[in-house]
Amino acid sequence: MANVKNKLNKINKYFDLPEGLITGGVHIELMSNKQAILDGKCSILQYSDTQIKINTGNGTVEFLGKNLCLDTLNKEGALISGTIEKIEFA
Amino acid sequence: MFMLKSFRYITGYVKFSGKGVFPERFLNLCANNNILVWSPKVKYGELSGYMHINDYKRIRKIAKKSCMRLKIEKRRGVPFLVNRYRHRYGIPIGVAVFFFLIIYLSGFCLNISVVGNDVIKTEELETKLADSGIYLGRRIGEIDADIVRQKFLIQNREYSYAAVNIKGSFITVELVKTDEKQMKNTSKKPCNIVARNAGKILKVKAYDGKVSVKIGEAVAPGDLLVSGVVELTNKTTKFVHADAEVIAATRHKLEVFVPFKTRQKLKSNETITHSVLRVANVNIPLFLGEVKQPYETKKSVKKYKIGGVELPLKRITVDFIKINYKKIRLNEKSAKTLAKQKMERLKNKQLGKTVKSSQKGKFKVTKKGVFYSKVYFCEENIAKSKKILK
Repeated sequence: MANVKNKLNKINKYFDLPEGLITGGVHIELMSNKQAILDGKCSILQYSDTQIKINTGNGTVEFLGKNLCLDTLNKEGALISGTIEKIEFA
Repeated sequence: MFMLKSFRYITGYVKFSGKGVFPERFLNLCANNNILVWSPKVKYGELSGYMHINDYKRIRKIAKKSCMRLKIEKRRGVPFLVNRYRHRYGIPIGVAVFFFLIIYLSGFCLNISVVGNDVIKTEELETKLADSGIYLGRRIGEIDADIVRQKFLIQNREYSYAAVNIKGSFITVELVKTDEKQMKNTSKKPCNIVARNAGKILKVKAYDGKVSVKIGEAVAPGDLLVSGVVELTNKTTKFVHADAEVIAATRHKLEVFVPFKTRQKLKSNETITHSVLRVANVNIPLFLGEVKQPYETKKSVKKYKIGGVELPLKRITVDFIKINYKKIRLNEKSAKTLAKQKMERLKNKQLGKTVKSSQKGKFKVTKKGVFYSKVYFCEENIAKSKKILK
């Protein structure tokens, strides 16, 4: 499985494609610091109004801020709104 | 957002709260099972959020898996509202009746407006339109605008153009009156011009036909003035519609009689007011009883409007003013004065402005009353058309 992933990463780099396009990463888009759109398969690890931690498959993304709310969560992605003060990747 | 909220309200949703060990797992499982949870909040270990009613029925297994104990906080939406009032039959019946009346009544003519009518009175025109097939309260589907238009134009020669526009329950009738010249040309049957009264010809203005009289000539009633039979140069005869204006000096003797014993009409202060509410073509009386004695009536109509649009609702009020007749005996002087007044009214009615001069009136007093006669000299058009072929 790891071998296949490595090969796909190589093809990705060879053709100069955006990172994670073939391997299936999560695409994160920010609208100022008020909204974050996560496009791709993700699941919640921690959820409160000051902290939302999301598993993206390749790692985790943690949104820290005030009045954070998960507007939508489905198979295709998630929508987070509120005042985002910090984003941490791990 | 408004559309989304409206959709959610129509389909129905619940606000739920749950306590458990893994609220995050619960949210993940919901997402994987295509269950939409919106505005989830976690506070003091308690999860709350919103979901559709149908989805709530599907989350029992998910809640069990994620060790959550859920309960419904609020129920919102149309399905719950309908369920709450399901035993109140009056509400759906009322709603159904409301929509039925709106749809049913919009199929009737509720307003008729006329554009371009300056020939006849509105009431008279309404009667004529009713004869043609347009009246308040008629079903719109039964009105064929083209047939009504043709029928109206055939019946009313004073109009040269009519258009009937139907817009919903409103009908607009546009009219254009016929020119006087056009009106004359409508009858093209051959005819002669004969004298209506006896007189001395002063002026002849013939538009068509052969003039048979000369200026200064005296004519009797029925004498031929302008002939509709014209002889052409090739000795053939042609029948035409003779048209002319023949001014003649005429003499009219008018006579009136005023009896000594007469009755005088006196209006009393006694007034009875009756009102009728007219909805479309239906009259709803707002009074009881009837009026039998001799009364003089005064009618007034109050029309109701909303935003400049006339409603098919009128309040017709009729004031019945009681009339008393008093028997009186006139003396000779007052009878003569009355006779003069009567003569003046008769002259205005019969001769109008054609009077040029008059002789002094003559009184003849009898036992019963006063006869008053007067001779008027006029200058008038005595032309009268008479058909040649019957």
